[in-house]
Amino acid sequence: MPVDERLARSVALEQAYVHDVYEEFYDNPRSKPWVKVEEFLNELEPGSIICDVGCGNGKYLNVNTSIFNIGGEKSNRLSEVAREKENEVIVLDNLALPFRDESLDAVLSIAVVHHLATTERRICALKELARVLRIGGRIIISVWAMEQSHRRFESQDVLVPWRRPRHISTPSLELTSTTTNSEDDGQPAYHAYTQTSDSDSTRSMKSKGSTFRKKGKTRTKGRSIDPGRSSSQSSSSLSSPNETCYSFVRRAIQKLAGSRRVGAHRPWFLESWTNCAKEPQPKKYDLNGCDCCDCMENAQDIPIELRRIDDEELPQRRQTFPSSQLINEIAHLKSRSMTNMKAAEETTASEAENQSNPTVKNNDIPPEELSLPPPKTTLKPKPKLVKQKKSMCEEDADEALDQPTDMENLVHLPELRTSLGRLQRGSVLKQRSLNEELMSTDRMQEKEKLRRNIQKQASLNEDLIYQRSHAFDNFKDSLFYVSTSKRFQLIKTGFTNKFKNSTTNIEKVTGSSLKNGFVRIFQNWKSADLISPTIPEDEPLENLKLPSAPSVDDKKESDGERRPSKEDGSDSSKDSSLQSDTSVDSEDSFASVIFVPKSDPMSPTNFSPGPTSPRLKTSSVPNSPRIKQSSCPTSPRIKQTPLMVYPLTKQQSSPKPSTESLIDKSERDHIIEETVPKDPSKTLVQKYSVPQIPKFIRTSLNTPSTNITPPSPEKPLVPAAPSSLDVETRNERLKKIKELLNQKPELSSKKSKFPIVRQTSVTNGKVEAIAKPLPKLLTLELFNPETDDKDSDSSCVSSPDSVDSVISINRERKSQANLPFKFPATNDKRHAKMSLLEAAADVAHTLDEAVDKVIKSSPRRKAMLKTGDVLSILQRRYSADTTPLLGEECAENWDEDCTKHLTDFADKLSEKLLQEIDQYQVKTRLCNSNYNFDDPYISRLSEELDDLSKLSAEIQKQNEYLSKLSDSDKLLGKKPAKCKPSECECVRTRNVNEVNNAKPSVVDSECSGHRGGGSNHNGEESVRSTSRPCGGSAEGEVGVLSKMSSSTKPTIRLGTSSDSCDSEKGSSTNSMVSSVATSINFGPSIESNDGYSGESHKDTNSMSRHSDGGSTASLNSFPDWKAARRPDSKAESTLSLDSPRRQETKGLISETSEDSLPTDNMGGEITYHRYYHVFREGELDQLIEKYVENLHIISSYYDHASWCIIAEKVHVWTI
Amino acid sequence: MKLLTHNMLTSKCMKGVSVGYPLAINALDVRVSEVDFNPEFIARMIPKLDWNVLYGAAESIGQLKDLPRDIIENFESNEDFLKKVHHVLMEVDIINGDLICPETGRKFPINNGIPNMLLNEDEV
Repeated sequence: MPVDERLARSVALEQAYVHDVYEEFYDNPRSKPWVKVEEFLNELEPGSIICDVGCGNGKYLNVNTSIFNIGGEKSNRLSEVAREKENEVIVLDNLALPFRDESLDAVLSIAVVHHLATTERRICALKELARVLRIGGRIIISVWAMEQSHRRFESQDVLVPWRRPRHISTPSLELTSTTTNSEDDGQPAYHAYTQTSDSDSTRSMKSKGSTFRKKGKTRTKGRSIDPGRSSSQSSSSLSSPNETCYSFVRRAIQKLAGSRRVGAHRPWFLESWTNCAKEPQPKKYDLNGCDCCDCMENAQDIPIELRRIDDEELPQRRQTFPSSQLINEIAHLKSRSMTNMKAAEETTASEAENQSNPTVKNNDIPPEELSLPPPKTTLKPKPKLVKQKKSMCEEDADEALDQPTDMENLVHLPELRTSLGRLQRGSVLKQRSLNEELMSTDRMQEKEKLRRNIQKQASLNEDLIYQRSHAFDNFKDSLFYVSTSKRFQLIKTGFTNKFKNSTTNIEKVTGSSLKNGFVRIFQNWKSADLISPTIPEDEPLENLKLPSAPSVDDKKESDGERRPSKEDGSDSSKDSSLQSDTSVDSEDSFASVIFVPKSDPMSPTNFSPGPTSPRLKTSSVPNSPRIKQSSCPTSPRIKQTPLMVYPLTKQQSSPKPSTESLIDKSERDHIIEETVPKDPSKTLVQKYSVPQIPKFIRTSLNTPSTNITPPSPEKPLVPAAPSSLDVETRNERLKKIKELLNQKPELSSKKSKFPIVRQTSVTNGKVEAIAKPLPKLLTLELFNPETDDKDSDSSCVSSPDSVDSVISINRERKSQANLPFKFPATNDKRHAKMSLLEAAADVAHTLDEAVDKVIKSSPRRKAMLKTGDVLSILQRRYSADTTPLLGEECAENWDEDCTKHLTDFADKLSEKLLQEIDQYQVKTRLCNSNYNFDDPYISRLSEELDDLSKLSAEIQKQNEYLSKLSDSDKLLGKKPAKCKPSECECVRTRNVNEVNNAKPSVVDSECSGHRGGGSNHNGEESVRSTSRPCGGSAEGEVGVLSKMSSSTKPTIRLGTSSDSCDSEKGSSTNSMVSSVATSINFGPSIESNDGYSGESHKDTNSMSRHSDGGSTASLNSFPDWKAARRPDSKAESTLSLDSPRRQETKGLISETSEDSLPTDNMGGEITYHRYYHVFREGELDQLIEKYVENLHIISSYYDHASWCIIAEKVHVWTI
Repeated sequence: MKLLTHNMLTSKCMKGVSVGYPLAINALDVRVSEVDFNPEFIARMIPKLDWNVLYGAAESIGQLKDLPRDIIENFESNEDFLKKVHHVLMEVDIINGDLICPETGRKFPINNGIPNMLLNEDEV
């Protein structure tokens, strides 16, 4: 390798893995000056001029004030930090010190030389240090030791992962340090290398040549370093006497890392050294260079790969695999953090168990998702190599911090950090830490899942290798390859097994908390039901009956209570689809999976506020990723990746259409059959037992089906075998649509009724009685969103346990109460039979108002608005109700021109969105002024605002497109137009519901994210705490806005889809396009304007780097979105039944959604890697003796995991 | 950056620069802050200094005050002289400006009191 290239590589390596990392260095107040260095400084005579080359934050610049301390640092940021302490600081490079020759009385080089990538450069640095030192001046040099008591390096060139130091107070550290380190640290540093010893060593080197290594071992033994440690580079002694509980984990990781390295790694170092010793210096130098090359290659290859991996596969970075592994192992360790971790995992598992109990397909799916988090942990090991390295690095990193206590800390820290580090925080900062950790873990898991999807095949093998729980493997496999129903079944079985296994564990640990949360949720639901029993009675009973008839799933769900309710609410379509063809099932399964996670995640998110809540979040987050994964496997298409962001949006949008048309089909199928059983006199008990929301949905579906589609009997078949029935379903749909068009007044009235119902219901809980009339399609649609919302709300309610969530819980509860009322209202509305146009107008108004209210409410929330939130929610609903009236009036005029109405509606929405955005911006500004936001956060908000504006623009475009479509529809017939409005209404209603629901949830999630960020930045916590509410509200608003936009988009899509139905061939393609567009829109709305996953990734990454909190917040918000959208996705699945093409699009969407999810995950912590060349014992001494002749080593010792040398500059010729 | 530091700085590591000393000072922002006077410290520091360079630097930034052109005899016991030196060495801080290589004219920016002496790859 040419010298130039080598140099360039080394420079690039150092830049990337040393200088760039230190630019991000977080001033660690914990780092204290080493005693030895302090002694060195204090021994200097007054008036000395010294330079600390690599002063970092300048901790050695104030030790001795009787001397003139100059701090030299290459990192601009660190130099600023040191400068702030009124130190004299120079930005310099150790390789080109800007000092005159022999101008300094003393030089410090603490933990610097080991960052240089080649021996050549290390020598150059030492020579440069000696150059500026006056004759008789002293220098102290410390470099990281390869022979460390608590970590073993497979190679001398390592990339050490490094996270921003967290202030982890681990009392146990001392113990470990005493036990393991006592020898090294406790005893006074042995001056292993006086010159005599050095000379001896060199002699021995020369004489024995290749036996250097052996000698090293012997030395180490003699010198109180664990023989096990020093002796084995490649071979780690599994059973070393000194192992601590953590050590075995570390060793395992090292082994994994080492095994790969070992193969390529050879004892080059020894050989090179021996050669060097034998040969004259010039040649030696060259040889060293060659060695360096090897080193470089080793170091570079691995590090570079790591970096790439990190960039591409962020999951690895964030929560390095070691953590995942460690979690399991740590679990055995009896530490609070461990328990916490387990509890969190278990909670998820317990949830899964609870859900799984029903053992219905639907139920099973959710449990799978729930259970996934644990599997993820198991899966994590896959990336082993990198991860292991990271883990190694992490440990090293801790030590690298140059903290005197590092050794001790390191021992504990590596383990704690990897697995529990976050958890420990959690113990300290309980909730925050848990949330963050969970989030991060979830993200990691999601990332891993993505990888798996990409690498599909490998995952299985890896899993086997790691021999994690079999159930997990099954889950993984099933999840990854979910495409087929078979796999689902396998997954189910696996989940059940897992649950059984996990349940035992989970139950032990945190099952109680989860159970409590569930119980609360149920109670909430029940309460809600009680509140609005009248309405539910009629329809819910019917629904209950119907669900039972269509599939055992419903019953099972009901048994499962929580999940069933959740699933039922959104899953009515899902169930049908699932039951239907396997091919369809794949999509359905995705949808269902997605949906299930929603409920779970929603509840967890709601719970999240408390310690339990973080767990829930994690579970929820993992669920979403899982969902993504599941969808991804089914749709590995490349297209999906670009669309990634869209998938979610698509799902939502698709669900909406599905709810509209599909619901008619699928739901009708189920419902129609079931509708017959409708009896207002249904038992309340059934209603209560079964999730109310789902019931409503079903009932509504039933009613619409009965009303609209006589062909419904056929339709039910369709859901079962959508693929075969697709054509039929389409035809049926067309017929239905035609019928609807013919019946327009009725349908419109029905649809309008629904919105009206809402108004009435919202405004008047009393209307419930009126609701008795058969709910129609519209009601169904409305119910779906509401049910979804309710689910989330209920979950939120259950969460009250969690401290953080208390506020959100209250909100949610209130919203829940409102929701039940809404349902009855919807029924009433049905009676009222409003024109579709009116209904659409109403919906639009309600949406707009809701958004406005949300925005308004957000500030309130900021100001501790528990009550205010509730009020705001109520107001929103009321406003929505009131507004619809206005819209109705307008609608009356528009009845004739549905298309016009749609366009107007879209315009209004867009306008309102714009206004809202403006308001939001103003608010954010105010918030900023009021609260000290972190700059990154503000920038992020501004970005979001920009995105929103873009979204609004897109929405307008879509509206235009819709108008065009409506025109075309007119040509075809008014029918499509009607369908569109109905869809729009549905979407709108959903949007409203979503907005209402999403606001609290999003806010909560964001808050949690902020919390996480705060925890990350301990110093900034206070500031963030203030900013959190604002940020959360602001983000929540943004989310709402984005949801609004998304909702509007889906409506647009629906219109297109309906058109496509009308003209199956061409229209289908159109719908596809439209769906894509919508999906794109969503993508931007979620992360940033562009549906450009790549950019979004970057944004998220950058965001995460700039402000961890911000990124986490965004991430948190995403899962919520997902959850909210899941029902939509289900609806989409139903739609997919209607049109296989749509299914494809959906699949794409799902894939894209999966992609987007990982991007979301990206937001987590970033682990930096620092390059180290760890020095063997005596290596530094030899370097100095061989190449820096004018330095005379006075003492050499081992301290703080480092080899330290104190040398004095002498006249060479004098010697 | 204090003038004491400047007294140590050189650009000799640059390619083609043999001495690179003293660096010219283009001070845009100079801050004078009071620093505790330590006669012993100053007395010990004076022998380490290149007095001419210090004098020129102080002159170039207008902080010469009454600093003598040459080191006086028995400065250790001349507290007045030591205080003058103390002022120049310790109390004058160049916050913003440039250090200029006398041979190549290469500018090393001083920002926030921190001189950036980093060299580009092609300058070493």
